[in-house]
Amino acid sequence: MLGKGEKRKFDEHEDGLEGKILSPSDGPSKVSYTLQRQTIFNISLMKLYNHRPLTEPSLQKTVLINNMLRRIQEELKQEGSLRPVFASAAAAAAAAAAATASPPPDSLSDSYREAAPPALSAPAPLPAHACDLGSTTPLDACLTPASLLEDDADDTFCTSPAAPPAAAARLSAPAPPPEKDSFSSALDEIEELCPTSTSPGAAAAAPDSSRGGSGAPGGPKPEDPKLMDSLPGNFEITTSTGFLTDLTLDDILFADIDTSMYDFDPCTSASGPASKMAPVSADDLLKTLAPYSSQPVAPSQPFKMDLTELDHIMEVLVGS
Amino acid sequence: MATLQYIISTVEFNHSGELLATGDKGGRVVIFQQEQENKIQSHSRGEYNVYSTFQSHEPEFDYLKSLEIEEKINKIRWLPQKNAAQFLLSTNDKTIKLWKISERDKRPEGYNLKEEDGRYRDPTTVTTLRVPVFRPMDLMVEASPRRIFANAHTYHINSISINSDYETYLSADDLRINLWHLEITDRSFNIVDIKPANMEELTEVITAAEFHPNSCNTFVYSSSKGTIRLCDMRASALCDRHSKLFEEPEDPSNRSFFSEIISSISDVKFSHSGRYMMTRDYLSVKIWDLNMENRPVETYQVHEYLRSKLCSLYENDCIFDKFECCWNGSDSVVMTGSYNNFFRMFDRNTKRDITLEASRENNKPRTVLKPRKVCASGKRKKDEISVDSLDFNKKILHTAWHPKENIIAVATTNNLYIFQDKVN
Repeated sequence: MLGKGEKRKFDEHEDGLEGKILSPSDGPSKVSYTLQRQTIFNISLMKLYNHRPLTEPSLQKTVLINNMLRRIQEELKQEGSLRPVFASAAAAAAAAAAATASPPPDSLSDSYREAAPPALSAPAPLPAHACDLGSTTPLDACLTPASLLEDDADDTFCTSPAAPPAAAARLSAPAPPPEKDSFSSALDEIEELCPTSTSPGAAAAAPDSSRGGSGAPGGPKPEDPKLMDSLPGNFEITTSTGFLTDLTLDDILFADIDTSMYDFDPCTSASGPASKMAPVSADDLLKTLAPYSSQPVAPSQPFKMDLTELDHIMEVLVGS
Repeated sequence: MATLQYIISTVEFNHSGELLATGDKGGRVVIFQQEQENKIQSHSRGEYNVYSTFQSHEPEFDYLKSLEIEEKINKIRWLPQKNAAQFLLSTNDKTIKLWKISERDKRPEGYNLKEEDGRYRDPTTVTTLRVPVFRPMDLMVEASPRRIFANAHTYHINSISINSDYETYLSADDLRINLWHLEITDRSFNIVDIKPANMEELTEVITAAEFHPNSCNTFVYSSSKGTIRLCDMRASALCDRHSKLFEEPEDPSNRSFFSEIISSISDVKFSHSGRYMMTRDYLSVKIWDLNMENRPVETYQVHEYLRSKLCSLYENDCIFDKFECCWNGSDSVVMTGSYNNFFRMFDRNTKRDITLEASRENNKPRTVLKPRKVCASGKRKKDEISVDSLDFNKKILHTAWHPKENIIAVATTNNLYIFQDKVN
C-alpha cells in the first residue's frame, strides 16, 4: 500500500520488528514509540478538521479524539520539561533527508514532513537551542531525552508495530530512517556547524498546531496553556472544530500536502478529503520501515550532506 | 434469510420471540413473524416472514444548527404484550415514537347506505334494513404512531430501555438520561446529567443505558471511559451520584495510545436473571456480577488479533464501531459480532467459544454453519483466514437471541440472517 513498486515483506520482517519492539532497552522501540505518537497525533488532527458532515458529528468520537490529542500533548509537555533538546538541527537534517529522497514542492510540505525525523530519538542528550516555533516543548520532546530511554517500564507502548507518520513514508524509498548511532553523530556534526541557529520554521505537527492556534510563532511556554485552552473548542455548535480555532491556517497547512503517491487503502474511511489526507495504512508503513531499521547499511548517508544545501533548507524553513 | 435494501441499524426480538423487529438507516421498521410450528415437520421451528413494514422516522432538518437529523433507527424496544396489539418504541437521534401494531382480519360488511366498494347508495333505493356483520378478510397489519416523545434530547440518543413497571422508560443521549412515562409526551424527567459547565472540560460521554430487568428503581449506564455506573432512583431525583461504579483497572502490559478508545463501552445488557450484566468494548466482552465492582467475573476476547492493528483501525475509523452483545434465554451463552461478517458465541459454562460467518456464499439454508478461525500471525493453516484478509467493511454490529429458543438473528450491513439450532 505504500507506493507503487514497493515490495512488501510481510511475515518475516514483522516478526523481526515485533521482536525488536518488545525488548525494552532498544533504541528503535523509542523511535517507534515517538513515531507512532506523532502519527496518531496527525491522524487525530485530520479527523477533527477534515470531517465536514451533513449531520452532527458523533460527540463520543470527538471526545475520544480530543482526549487522545490532549494526552499526547501532555506527554510531549512533560518530556519537554524534563530535558530540552536540540530539535532544529534534527529538523534540518530531516529536511535534507527529505530533500534527497523526494524533493518537496513547497516549504509547507517540508514543515509537515519534518514531523517524522524530529521524532526520531536522540540517544544522547543534546544542548538546548532556542527554537521559537509555536511551541518548542512539543518539538523538543519529539527527540526523546536519553533519560526516558532508560525508563522504559511503562513505555512499552509498542506492543504493536508502531507506525511512523505518513510523512515518513515519503522518505521511504531511498532514505531509510537512520540507526541511532549514525543519527546522533550526524546531529553532533550539525551542532558543530550551526551552534546558535534558531529556526522558527522547523515545525513538527505539534508546533504546527500550536502555531495554528496562536497564529504566529511565539514563545514556547505561553503557547501551551493557550493551546490547552483552545481544546476542545465549542462542542455545542460544531463538534468537528474541536481542537484548533484557526481554520484558515489549517486549510493552508493541509492543503498543500502532496498525496499523489498514495493509493487508497480500501479500509480507510471514504469521507472525501479525509481519505486523501490519510493515504497510507499506518501499520503498513511500519512494516515497510522494518526492513530498513534492521539494516545498518546506509542510514548515515542522508546526513553527510552538503553544507550549502543545509543552509538553503534552513533559509526556507526560516522563511516559512 | 431476508434481504433488505437498507443498512440495518437495530435488531430486537419481542418478549415471546414470535416477532423480530429490525430498524434501518432509512428510518424503516420491518417486523418478521415466526410461522406457527408445523406439527408434521417437527424438525424445524417456524420460519420468519415479513409481517409488517412501516416508515417510523423521517429525516429532519435542524434549522438552528444547519444540520440534518438522521432518520436512522438507533434502537427498538418492545413492550410486553397486554392485549391483541403489539407495541414498540423506536428512536432515532432525537425523537422516540411509540408504535401500535395491530392486526385486522375481519371487516364489516352489509352497510345500509354504502355499497361494498364504498360508494354511497341512493337512500331512496333502500327498502330493507340489515345489521352489518364482520366477515373474514385477508390479514392486514397496521402500524400507527400512538405517542411521539420529542424535543427532550440535545445530543444523540443512543439507548432506550423500558422499565419493569411497564409504565416508564428511559432514554439516554451522550450527556443526559431522561425518564418518561409512556402516556405523557410533553415532559420527561432528567435523571442523569454529566454535562460539564464548561464544555471544554468534557472528556467522557454516556454510551449506553438500561433498566434492571426486575428492580424498577435500578438502572445502569456505561461511558466512553469503560466505566459502568449503577444508579438507584430512590436515592435522589437526579442520579448524578452512582450507587455503584464498575471499572476494571487497566492492564499495564496492554497499555497503548488506544487504551481509552478501546475501553469505551459500546453496549451494556443485563442478564435475564438480573444478577449479571454484560458490557462490550472494542476487543472484548465482559460479564460483571452486580455485587462486585472492581473487576468483571468473566472476560472473553472477541478479536484479540486486532490489537496490533489498532492504529490502522483508528485511521479508518473502525475503532469507533459500536458492537452490540446479547444473552441467550438461559444466560448461559453470550454472542457478539465482529468483522468479515463473523460473529462469536461464548459458552459461559463450558468456556468454549465459536466463530461463525454470516454470508450467503458459505451457507445454504438448512446446512450447519462451519466454524471459522482467524490466524493472527505466522503460518496460516488451511481454512484459516489471515487478519489482513479480513474485510472491515463487513461488520456485524447487531445481533439478537430469541428469548426462549436457540434462534438468533444476525444483521450484516444489509442482510438479516436468522439461524436456528439443529433439532434432531
